[in-house]
Amino acid sequence: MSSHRIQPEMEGQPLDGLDELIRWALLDEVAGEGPSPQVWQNIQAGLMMRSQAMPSQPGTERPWRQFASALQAWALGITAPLNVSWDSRLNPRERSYLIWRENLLLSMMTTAAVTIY
Amino acid sequence: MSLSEDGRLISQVRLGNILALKALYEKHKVLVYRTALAITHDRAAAEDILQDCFLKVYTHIDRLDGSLPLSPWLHRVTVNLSYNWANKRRRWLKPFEDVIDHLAAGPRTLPESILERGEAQRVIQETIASLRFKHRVVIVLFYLNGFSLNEIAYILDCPVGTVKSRLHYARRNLRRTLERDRRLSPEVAYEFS
Repeated sequence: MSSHRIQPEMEGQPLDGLDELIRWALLDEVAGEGPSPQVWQNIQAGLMMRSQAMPSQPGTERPWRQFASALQAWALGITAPLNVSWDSRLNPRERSYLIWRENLLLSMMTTAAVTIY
Repeated sequence: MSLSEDGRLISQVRLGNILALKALYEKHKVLVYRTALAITHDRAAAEDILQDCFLKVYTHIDRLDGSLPLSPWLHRVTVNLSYNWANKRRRWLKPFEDVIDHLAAGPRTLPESILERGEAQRVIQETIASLRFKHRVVIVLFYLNGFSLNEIAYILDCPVGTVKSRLHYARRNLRRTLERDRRLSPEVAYEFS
């Protein structure tokens, strides 16, 4: 930050009494002025509102949330073939097809999760 | 070593440390507030501008360069917010205020005896306040904040030549207005000419 300084010359002309008077008047005008504590409280409230709104926006999730989502998808994927193989209503051909399809989905989701993380 | 301190705090804010943001706020709040106040002459507006300024710090924290001083960037945001405030005010309030000022203002017939230094100070403050907005901003940044012409050019996002020109015209207008002002004693007026 620049300290209170005035360039010795401006546009090649030396500064005169006017410059000192301007500076003096401006400093006097705002001397002792400061923001109220309410401003920081408003900023905090604004940050809280933003942080509540942010997770729903794409690309703004925290890394741990992305990891949790990926882990959840992976867990669902890995248990899906088991659910299919335990389903007694399916014949062997249907069961085989569904297990193959679930494994394919599982491998795709795992790849996606690793990429995201 | 304010520069490295700002950079360290910016890094911590990036990690979500609100206390680091508060430390930045505590460090810069008075300068930002006083700049906004000198430009707007409105305490409530200056507080709103300060608040919005630090919300923008948080929003744009990833874009801030921690190796550079934060103050010029803060003042760039402050000036932009002040412009927005002035535009809104001009649109909604200025016509009414102009009428009120016109009705309230009488002829300048103050006695010469009160034309002391304190009066000169008030006259200068009034004259600065009456400058065109873009001239007033340059005057505040140059004289109050002590920014260099290059720093002001960055803050205003304009060429240095434009800053020089605005400063030149602002000073000339100030000088002419002050020389014409009948409230100033001949001794004080002489200092300008």
